Amino acid sequence: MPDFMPVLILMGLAFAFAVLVILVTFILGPKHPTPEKLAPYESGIQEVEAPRSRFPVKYLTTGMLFIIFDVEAASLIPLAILMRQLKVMGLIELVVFAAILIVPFFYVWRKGAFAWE
Amino acid sequence: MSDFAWGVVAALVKSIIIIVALLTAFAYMTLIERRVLARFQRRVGPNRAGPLGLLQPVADALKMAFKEQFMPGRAFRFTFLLAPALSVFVALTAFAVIPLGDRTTWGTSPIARAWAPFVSDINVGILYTLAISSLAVYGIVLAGWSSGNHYSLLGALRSAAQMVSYEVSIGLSVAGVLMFAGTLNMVDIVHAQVHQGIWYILAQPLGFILYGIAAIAEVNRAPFDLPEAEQELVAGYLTEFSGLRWSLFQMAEYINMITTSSVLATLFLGGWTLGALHGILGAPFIWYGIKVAFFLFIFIWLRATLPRIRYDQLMRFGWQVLLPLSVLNALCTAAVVAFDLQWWVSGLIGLFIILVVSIIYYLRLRAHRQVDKSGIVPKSTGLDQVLPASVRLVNIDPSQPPTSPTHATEPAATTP
Repeated sequence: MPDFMPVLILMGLAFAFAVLVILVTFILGPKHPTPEKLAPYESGIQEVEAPRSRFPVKYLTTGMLFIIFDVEAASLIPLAILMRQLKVMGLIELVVFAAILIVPFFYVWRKGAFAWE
Repeated sequence: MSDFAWGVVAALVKSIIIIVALLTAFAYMTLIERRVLARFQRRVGPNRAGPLGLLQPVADALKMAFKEQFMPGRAFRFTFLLAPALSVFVALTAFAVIPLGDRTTWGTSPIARAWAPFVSDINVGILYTLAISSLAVYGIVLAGWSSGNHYSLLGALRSAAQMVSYEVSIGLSVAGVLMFAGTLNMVDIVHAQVHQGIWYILAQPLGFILYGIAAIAEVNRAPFDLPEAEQELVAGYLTEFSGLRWSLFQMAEYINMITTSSVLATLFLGGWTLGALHGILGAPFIWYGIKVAFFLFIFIWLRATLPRIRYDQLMRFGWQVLLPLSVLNALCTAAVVAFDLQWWVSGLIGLFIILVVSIIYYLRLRAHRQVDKSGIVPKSTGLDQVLPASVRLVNIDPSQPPTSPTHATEPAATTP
């Protein structure tokens, strides 16, 4: 895999740059922590509820839908590249494949998965 | 030295050039954005530091470096530091496959090929860019989670949901271009455009618009910059970050913009080519630069023009409009390619779909418009039908006469 060697080198340099900047942030600048400064920002009012509590399950549903449809997109890409060679057979495959995913798409739509209230 | 060693040297030099160029572009992009936005608002913008304000980025960087960098007491220390580093790492890495010019023609030896104007020529180029740039969501989620702050957490969650929603449309709208090009390699995609004598924006107008919209949402730019909505979430996941750590997030955002513009230019506008004019030495960089600058200007233009859209609208738009349209685009393009039709058939289909969607949107906008030309608010459309419960501050019963809302919004008195 000689083609991926330059990518790894760029990754290494980018990583080194990021770590360097983070290390620099420890050296530069004044350090005067006070209890008020260290408190989480809460628009100036007292905190009522601890953060990192439970969050709406809606976000999780969106994540699961994403996995389904992104796998669809990912499996479509090899088919798309070979479309010129597969000709009508490829089109039929694509239509069948899309139909299998369009039905659940409208099902979750009707179930209200895309409505944010 | 062996070929491999020469390859390493070439890759090192090119990587350093790319990183330095991206950081410089980021610095000057902030200045350009401020100047251009100022012009949109009939202001002058920062013009004091150096001629035309050209030293402003330097001043900003120095100021940022010497600010106090504090960490909230409740933050997870390691993740809090990891998040900005991860963001900028992902942003810099995604640029690896963007071609700034053709493969070298002055030699076929591995040493000569190693000096082509791109970091790597891997055969899954566009897939690599998509995969790496979607990792950007990790930096944002980790930042929001580790801050230990409600605003940060909400901003991060919103951002994550938004990015994954639009990611799907990106993958599907690229499929149309890939059907025409028949390859994933970025250089070969440009070659395919030269070979077929068109830019793919002509064959894929719908795909271009879908990719453009989804890409703006993907890099969290206006009008889709919900995660950092100042008015409701302070600064979203950025709330607890300061100094250089905050700059790293900004850096990642602008570099992602540049990468996205480059991908758009490569896939739809023929990358570094312009007719036969890219044969001249140095010209490819100019054409590439002009195309990327054009898209970057559009990013700023959109920010100056459009108001931020509401979160429920954003998610509904991504799933119910962009996703079906990109599937439709893929199916139409597949039909055109499978039956060996001319490229303009696909272009006309795309334009037709754009026209139909625009007409539908126009009609719906007219139907939903609350105030008509006479200035009378129609009784049928109460506020309840327009705003969902999650966005409303007060509940208004249209059947009751309006009362002063000041008492309704006042929070209950609490004793600390």
